[in-house]
Amino acid sequence: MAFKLPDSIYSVEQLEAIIFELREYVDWSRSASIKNKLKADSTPLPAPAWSSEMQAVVASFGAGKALSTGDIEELIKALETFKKKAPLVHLTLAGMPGPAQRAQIMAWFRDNVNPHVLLTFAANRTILGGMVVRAGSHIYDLSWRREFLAKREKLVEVVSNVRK
Amino acid sequence: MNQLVVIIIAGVAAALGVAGIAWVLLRAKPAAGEHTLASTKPAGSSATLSGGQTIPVLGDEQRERLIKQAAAEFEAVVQDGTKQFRADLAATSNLLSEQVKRMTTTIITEELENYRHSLEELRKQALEVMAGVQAAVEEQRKALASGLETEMKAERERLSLQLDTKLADIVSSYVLEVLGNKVDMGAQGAYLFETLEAHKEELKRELSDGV
Repeated sequence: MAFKLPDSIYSVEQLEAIIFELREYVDWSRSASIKNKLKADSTPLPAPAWSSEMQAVVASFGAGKALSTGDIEELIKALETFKKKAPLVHLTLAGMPGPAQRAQIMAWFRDNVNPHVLLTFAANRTILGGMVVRAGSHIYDLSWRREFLAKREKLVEVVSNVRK
Repeated sequence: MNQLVVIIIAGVAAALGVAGIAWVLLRAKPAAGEHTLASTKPAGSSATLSGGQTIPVLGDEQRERLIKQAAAEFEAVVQDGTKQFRADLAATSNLLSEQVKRMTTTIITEELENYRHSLEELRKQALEVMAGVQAAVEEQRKALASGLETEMKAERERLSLQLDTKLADIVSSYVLEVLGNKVDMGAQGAYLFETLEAHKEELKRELSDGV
Protein backbone atom coordinates (compact mmCIF):
# COMPACT_ATOMS: atom_id res chain seq x y z
CA MET A 1 0.00 0.00 0.00
CA ALA A 2 1.67 3.09 -1.28
CA PHE A 3 -0.37 5.78 0.38
CA LYS A 4 -1.32 6.53 3.93
CA LEU A 5 -4.96 6.67 4.89
CA PRO A 6 -6.03 9.88 6.58
CA ASP A 7 -6.37 9.49 10.35
CA SER A 8 -10.09 10.24 10.12
CA ILE A 9 -10.47 6.91 8.30
CA TYR A 10 -9.98 4.30 10.99
CA SER A 11 -12.49 1.51 10.44
CA VAL A 12 -13.37 -1.20 7.95
CA GLU A 13 -16.90 0.21 7.72
CA GLN A 14 -15.57 3.60 6.69
CA LEU A 15 -13.39 1.94 4.05
CA GLU A 16 -16.36 0.03 2.71
CA ALA A 17 -18.41 3.21 2.55
CA ILE A 18 -15.60 5.03 0.71
CA ILE A 19 -15.17 2.14 -1.74
CA PHE A 20 -18.92 2.23 -2.36
CA GLU A 21 -18.82 5.97 -2.96
CA LEU A 22 -15.84 5.62 -5.30
CA ARG A 23 -17.61 2.92 -7.31
CA GLU A 24 -20.65 5.16 -7.58
CA TYR A 25 -18.38 7.89 -8.78
CA VAL A 26 -16.80 5.63 -11.37
CA ASP A 27 -20.27 4.56 -12.58
CA TRP A 28 -21.38 8.17 -12.70
CA SER A 29 -18.24 9.20 -14.47
CA ARG A 30 -18.66 6.52 -17.14
CA SER A 31 -22.34 7.30 -17.64
CA ALA A 32 -21.59 11.00 -17.87
CA SER A 33 -18.81 10.34 -20.37
CA ILE A 34 -21.05 8.19 -22.60
CA LYS A 35 -23.87 10.71 -22.37
CA ASN A 36 -21.46 13.44 -23.27
CA LYS A 37 -20.21 11.51 -26.25
CA LEU A 38 -23.70 10.72 -27.52
CA LYS A 39 -25.05 14.18 -26.75
CA ALA A 40 -28.46 12.58 -26.55
CA ASP A 41 -29.61 14.71 -23.67
CA SER A 42 -28.45 18.18 -22.89
CA THR A 43 -29.21 17.85 -19.16
CA PRO A 44 -26.07 16.60 -17.40
CA LEU A 45 -26.24 13.71 -14.89
CA PRO A 46 -26.13 14.97 -11.31
CA ALA A 47 -22.81 14.23 -9.69
CA PRO A 48 -23.05 12.06 -6.51
CA ALA A 49 -22.35 13.75 -3.21
CA TRP A 50 -18.82 13.21 -1.93
CA SER A 51 -18.34 12.63 1.77
CA SER A 52 -15.53 14.44 3.54
CA GLU A 53 -13.86 11.08 4.25
CA MET A 54 -13.87 10.18 0.55
CA GLN A 55 -12.50 13.57 -0.34
CA ALA A 56 -9.75 13.15 2.21
CA VAL A 57 -8.84 9.72 0.83
CA VAL A 58 -8.79 10.94 -2.76
CA ALA A 59 -6.69 13.96 -1.77
CA SER A 60 -4.23 11.74 0.06
CA PHE A 61 -4.07 9.25 -2.82
CA GLY A 62 -3.67 11.87 -5.58
CA ALA A 63 -1.41 14.07 -3.52
CA GLY A 64 -3.41 17.14 -4.61
CA LYS A 65 -3.69 16.16 -8.29
CA ALA A 66 -6.98 15.46 -10.11
CA LEU A 67 -7.62 11.74 -10.52
CA SER A 68 -8.83 10.02 -13.67
CA THR A 69 -11.36 7.21 -13.62
CA GLY A 70 -8.50 4.79 -13.98
CA ASP A 71 -6.80 6.33 -10.94
CA ILE A 72 -10.02 5.98 -8.97
CA GLU A 73 -10.26 2.34 -9.96
CA GLU A 74 -6.68 1.86 -8.83
CA LEU A 75 -7.58 3.57 -5.55
CA ILE A 76 -10.53 1.22 -5.14
CA LYS A 77 -8.22 -1.76 -5.61
CA ALA A 78 -5.76 -0.32 -3.09
CA LEU A 79 -8.53 0.22 -0.56
CA GLU A 80 -9.85 -3.33 -1.12
CA THR A 81 -6.37 -4.67 -0.40
CA PHE A 82 -6.13 -2.39 2.61
CA LYS A 83 -9.42 -3.67 3.94
CA LYS A 84 -8.33 -7.28 3.58
CA LYS A 85 -4.84 -7.01 4.99
CA ALA A 86 -4.78 -4.16 7.46
CA PRO A 87 -4.17 -5.26 11.08
CA LEU A 88 -7.20 -4.68 13.26
CA VAL A 89 -7.22 -3.32 16.77
CA HIS A 90 -10.40 -3.30 18.87
CA LEU A 91 -10.65 -0.63 21.51
CA THR A 92 -13.22 -0.64 24.30
CA LEU A 93 -13.52 2.58 26.26
CA ALA A 94 -15.79 3.77 29.05
CA GLY A 95 -17.64 5.94 26.54
CA MET A 96 -17.64 6.41 22.80
CA PRO A 97 -14.93 8.91 21.80
CA GLY A 98 -15.81 11.78 19.48
CA PRO A 99 -14.49 11.99 15.90
CA ALA A 100 -11.57 14.19 16.90
CA GLN A 101 -10.52 11.86 19.68
CA ARG A 102 -10.89 8.83 17.39
CA ALA A 103 -8.63 10.52 14.86
CA GLN A 104 -6.12 11.29 17.61
CA ILE A 105 -6.07 7.67 18.72
CA MET A 106 -5.83 6.49 15.12
CA ALA A 107 -2.90 8.85 14.49
CA TRP A 108 -1.11 7.55 17.57
CA PHE A 109 -1.52 3.93 16.43
CA ARG A 110 -0.37 4.68 12.88
CA ASP A 111 2.59 6.75 14.06
CA ASN A 112 3.71 4.46 16.84
CA VAL A 113 2.51 0.92 16.13
CA ASN A 114 1.64 0.22 12.51
CA PRO A 115 0.93 2.76 9.68
CA HIS A 116 -1.81 0.57 8.20
CA VAL A 117 -3.73 -0.33 11.29
CA LEU A 118 -7.53 -0.07 11.42
CA LEU A 119 -9.54 0.35 14.61
CA THR A 120 -12.94 -0.48 15.96
CA PHE A 121 -14.38 1.39 18.91
CA ALA A 122 -16.82 0.10 21.50
CA ALA A 123 -18.12 1.54 24.75
CA ASN A 124 -18.51 -0.25 28.10
CA ARG A 125 -19.02 2.04 31.05
CA THR A 126 -18.32 -0.71 33.62
CA ILE A 127 -14.62 -0.43 32.89
CA LEU A 128 -14.94 3.06 34.45
CA GLY A 129 -12.05 4.53 32.47
CA GLY A 130 -8.98 3.67 30.48
CA MET A 131 -9.41 1.10 27.72
CA VAL A 132 -9.28 -2.52 26.80
CA VAL A 133 -7.18 -3.15 23.69
CA ARG A 134 -7.56 -6.34 21.69
CA ALA A 135 -4.74 -6.66 19.17
CA GLY A 136 -4.13 -9.91 17.40
CA SER A 137 -4.38 -12.71 19.89
CA HIS A 138 -3.79 -10.53 22.94
CA ILE A 139 -6.05 -8.48 25.17
CA TYR A 140 -4.49 -5.62 27.11
CA ASP A 141 -6.76 -4.60 29.93
CA LEU A 142 -5.73 -1.01 30.65
CA SER A 143 -9.01 -0.15 32.34
CA TRP A 144 -9.52 1.63 35.63
CA ARG A 145 -11.55 -1.28 36.91
CA ARG A 146 -8.56 -3.56 36.55
CA GLU A 147 -6.40 -0.94 38.20
CA PHE A 148 -8.80 -0.87 41.13
CA LEU A 149 -8.75 -4.62 41.44
CA ALA A 150 -4.98 -4.79 41.03
CA LYS A 151 -4.40 -2.18 43.72
CA ARG A 152 -6.75 -3.54 46.34
CA GLU A 153 -4.10 -3.18 49.03
CA LYS A 154 -3.81 0.50 48.32
CA LEU A 155 -7.56 0.82 48.53
CA VAL A 156 -7.63 -1.01 51.86
CA GLU A 157 -4.81 1.19 53.10
CA VAL A 158 -6.69 4.32 52.12
CA VAL A 159 -9.86 3.04 53.80
CA SER A 160 -7.86 2.18 56.93
CA ASN A 161 -6.34 5.66 57.01
CA VAL A 162 -9.78 7.18 56.67
CA ARG A 163 -11.09 5.06 59.56
CA LYS A 164 -8.23 6.20 61.80
CA MET B 1 -2.35 -72.31 122.72
CA ASN B 2 -1.27 -72.74 126.32
CA GLN B 3 -4.63 -74.31 127.18
CA LEU B 4 -4.19 -76.80 124.37
CA VAL B 5 -0.73 -77.72 125.65
CA VAL B 6 -2.09 -78.15 129.17
CA ILE B 7 -4.88 -80.40 127.92
CA ILE B 8 -2.39 -82.50 125.94
CA ILE B 9 -0.10 -82.81 128.92
CA ALA B 10 -3.00 -83.76 131.19
CA GLY B 11 -4.11 -86.38 128.68
CA VAL B 12 -0.62 -87.81 128.45
CA ALA B 13 -0.28 -87.89 132.21
CA ALA B 14 -3.63 -89.63 132.63
CA ALA B 15 -2.71 -92.21 130.03
CA LEU B 16 0.64 -92.85 131.71
CA GLY B 17 -1.10 -93.21 135.07
CA VAL B 18 -3.64 -95.68 133.80
CA ALA B 19 -0.92 -97.62 132.02
CA GLY B 20 1.21 -97.74 135.18
CA ILE B 21 -1.63 -98.95 137.33
CA ALA B 22 -2.54 -101.58 134.78
CA TRP B 23 1.08 -102.70 134.63
CA VAL B 24 1.25 -103.04 138.42
CA LEU B 25 -1.98 -104.99 138.56
CA LEU B 26 -0.98 -107.27 135.75
CA ARG B 27 2.38 -107.86 137.33
CA ALA B 28 0.58 -108.79 140.52
CA LYS B 29 -1.29 -111.63 138.85
CA PRO B 30 0.77 -114.67 137.86
CA ALA B 31 0.99 -115.37 134.21
CA ALA B 32 0.79 -118.89 132.76
CA GLY B 33 3.85 -120.90 133.68
CA GLU B 34 4.77 -118.33 136.33
CA HIS B 35 5.05 -119.16 139.99
CA THR B 36 1.81 -118.53 141.83
CA LEU B 37 1.67 -117.22 145.34
CA ALA B 38 -0.95 -117.67 147.89
CA SER B 39 -3.67 -115.00 147.82
CA THR B 40 -3.29 -114.17 151.41
CA LYS B 41 0.06 -114.69 152.90
CA PRO B 42 1.30 -113.46 156.19
CA ALA B 43 4.18 -111.06 156.20
CA GLY B 44 7.60 -112.69 156.40
CA SER B 45 6.61 -116.09 154.82
CA SER B 46 8.47 -117.67 151.90
CA ALA B 47 7.69 -119.84 148.85
CA THR B 48 9.60 -122.78 147.39
CA LEU B 49 10.09 -122.94 143.69
CA SER B 50 9.97 -126.17 141.69
CA GLY B 51 13.73 -126.27 141.54
CA GLY B 52 13.89 -126.14 145.25
CA GLN B 53 14.83 -122.52 145.42
CA THR B 54 13.13 -120.55 148.08
CA ILE B 55 12.10 -116.94 147.66
CA PRO B 56 10.62 -114.62 150.25
CA VAL B 57 6.91 -113.88 149.77
CA LEU B 58 5.37 -110.45 150.65
CA GLY B 59 2.33 -110.23 152.75
CA ASP B 60 -0.91 -108.60 151.60
CA GLU B 61 -0.45 -105.51 153.66
CA GLN B 62 3.12 -105.11 152.63
CA ARG B 63 2.16 -105.57 149.07
CA GLU B 64 -0.67 -103.10 149.40
CA ARG B 65 1.67 -100.62 150.96
CA LEU B 66 4.23 -101.12 148.26
CA ILE B 67 1.64 -100.72 145.57
CA LYS B 68 0.42 -97.51 147.13
CA GLN B 69 3.98 -96.28 147.53
CA ALA B 70 4.75 -97.18 143.91
CA ALA B 71 1.60 -95.50 142.76
CA ALA B 72 2.45 -92.40 144.78
CA GLU B 73 6.00 -92.39 143.49
CA PHE B 74 4.80 -93.02 139.98
CA GLU B 75 2.29 -90.22 140.34
CA ALA B 76 5.01 -87.91 141.65
CA VAL B 77 7.29 -88.88 138.80
CA VAL B 78 4.49 -88.37 136.32
CA GLN B 79 3.67 -85.05 137.91
CA ASP B 80 7.30 -83.99 137.77
CA GLY B 81 7.53 -85.20 134.20
CA THR B 82 4.33 -83.40 133.40
CA LYS B 83 5.63 -80.21 134.99
CA GLN B 84 8.92 -80.55 133.19
CA PHE B 85 7.17 -81.37 129.97
CA ARG B 86 4.80 -78.43 130.43
CA ALA B 87 7.71 -76.10 131.06
CA ASP B 88 9.59 -77.50 128.05
CA LEU B 89 6.46 -77.33 126.01
CA ALA B 90 5.85 -73.76 127.08
CA ALA B 91 9.43 -72.84 126.28
CA THR B 92 9.21 -74.65 122.98
CA SER B 93 5.93 -73.01 122.31
CA ASN B 94 7.39 -69.63 123.14
CA LEU B 95 10.39 -70.37 121.01
CA LEU B 96 8.19 -71.56 118.22
CA SER B 97 5.97 -68.54 118.60
CA GLU B 98 8.99 -66.33 118.55
CA GLN B 99 10.38 -68.18 115.56
CA VAL B 100 7.08 -68.10 113.79
CA LYS B 101 6.75 -64.44 114.61
CA ARG B 102 10.23 -63.76 113.33
CA MET B 103 9.68 -65.85 110.23
CA THR B 104 6.34 -64.25 109.69
CA THR B 105 7.87 -60.83 110.13
CA THR B 106 10.70 -61.72 107.80
CA ILE B 107 8.37 -63.21 105.23
CA ILE B 108 5.96 -60.33 105.47
CA THR B 109 8.85 -57.90 105.24
CA GLU B 110 10.25 -59.73 102.23
CA GLU B 111 6.84 -59.98 100.67
CA LEU B 112 6.21 -56.35 101.41
CA GLU B 113 9.56 -55.51 99.91
CA ASN B 114 8.73 -57.58 96.85
CA TYR B 115 5.34 -55.97 96.72
CA ARG B 116 6.89 -52.53 97.09
CA HIS B 117 9.43 -53.39 94.40
CA SER B 118 6.68 -54.64 92.10
CA LEU B 119 4.66 -51.56 92.82
CA GLU B 120 7.67 -49.42 92.07
CA GLU B 121 8.25 -51.27 88.81
CA LEU B 122 4.61 -50.90 87.91
CA ARG B 123 4.70 -47.26 88.84
CA LYS B 124 7.76 -46.78 86.62
CA GLN B 125 6.09 -48.63 83.77
CA ALA B 126 2.93 -46.64 84.27
CA LEU B 127 4.95 -43.44 84.33
CA GLU B 128 6.75 -44.46 81.13
CA VAL B 129 3.45 -45.30 79.48
CA MET B 130 1.96 -42.08 80.73
CA ALA B 131 4.96 -40.14 79.47
CA GLY B 132 4.57 -41.82 76.09
CA VAL B 133 0.87 -41.07 76.03
CA GLN B 134 1.52 -37.52 77.14
CA ALA B 135 4.16 -37.07 74.42
CA ALA B 136 1.78 -38.51 71.82
CA VAL B 137 -1.03 -36.28 73.04
CA GLU B 138 1.28 -33.29 73.02
CA GLU B 139 2.46 -34.13 69.51
CA GLN B 140 -1.12 -34.57 68.37
CA ARG B 141 -2.06 -31.32 70.05
CA LYS B 142 0.79 -29.52 68.32
CA ALA B 143 -0.13 -31.04 64.97
CA LEU B 144 -3.74 -30.05 65.47
CA ALA B 145 -2.78 -26.57 66.59
CA SER B 146 -0.44 -26.19 63.63
CA GLY B 147 -3.07 -27.50 61.22
CA LEU B 148 -5.67 -25.25 62.76
CA GLU B 149 -3.38 -22.28 62.59
CA THR B 150 -2.56 -22.95 58.94
CA GLU B 151 -6.22 -23.39 58.17
CA MET B 152 -7.13 -20.24 60.01
CA LYS B 153 -4.40 -18.32 58.25
CA ALA B 154 -5.57 -19.57 54.85
CA GLU B 155 -9.16 -18.77 55.75
CA ARG B 156 -8.16 -15.32 57.00
CA GLU B 157 -6.26 -14.65 53.77
CA ARG B 158 -9.17 -15.92 51.71
CA LEU B 159 -11.60 -13.73 53.58
CA SER B 160 -9.23 -10.79 53.35
CA LEU B 161 -8.90 -11.28 49.60
CA GLN B 162 -12.65 -11.65 49.31
CA LEU B 163 -13.15 -8.50 51.34
CA ASP B 164 -10.62 -6.60 49.25
CA THR B 165 -12.29 -7.75 46.08
CA LYS B 166 -15.69 -6.82 47.44
CA LEU B 167 -14.33 -3.47 48.53
CA ALA B 168 -12.86 -2.86 45.09
CA ASP B 169 -16.17 -3.89 43.58
CA ILE B 170 -17.99 -1.53 45.90
CA VAL B 171 -15.70 1.34 44.97
CA SER B 172 -16.00 0.47 41.27
CA SER B 173 -19.76 0.33 41.57
CA TYR B 174 -19.77 3.57 43.50
CA VAL B 175 -17.60 5.32 40.90
CA LEU B 176 -19.75 3.87 38.13
CA GLU B 177 -22.90 5.03 39.88
CA VAL B 178 -21.50 8.50 40.44
CA LEU B 179 -20.19 8.85 36.90
CA GLY B 180 -23.34 7.42 35.34
CA ASN B 181 -23.32 8.24 31.67
CA LYS B 182 -21.19 11.30 32.16
CA VAL B 183 -17.90 9.71 31.25
CA ASP B 184 -15.71 12.49 29.93
CA MET B 185 -13.50 10.85 27.36
CA GLY B 186 -11.70 14.11 26.76
CA ALA B 187 -10.54 14.17 30.35
CA GLN B 188 -9.20 10.66 29.94
CA GLY B 189 -7.21 11.51 26.82
CA ALA B 190 -3.89 12.04 28.52
CA TYR B 191 -4.31 8.90 30.58
CA LEU B 192 -5.24 6.87 27.48
CA PHE B 193 -2.14 7.92 25.54
CA GLU B 194 0.02 7.43 28.59
CA THR B 195 -1.14 3.83 28.99
CA LEU B 196 -0.82 3.22 25.24
CA GLU B 197 2.75 4.54 25.35
CA ALA B 198 3.49 2.15 28.19
CA HIS B 199 2.40 -0.79 26.02
CA LYS B 200 3.66 0.51 22.69
CA GLU B 201 6.35 -2.09 22.18
CA GLU B 202 4.03 -4.99 22.95
CA LEU B 203 1.44 -3.65 20.51
CA LYS B 204 4.11 -3.19 17.87
CA ARG B 205 5.23 -6.77 18.23
CA GLU B 206 1.68 -8.01 18.16
CA LEU B 207 0.80 -6.10 14.97
CA SER B 208 4.09 -6.54 13.13
CA ASP B 209 2.61 -9.39 11.08
CA GLY B 210 0.08 -7.02 9.46
CA VAL B 211 0.20 -5.37 6.05
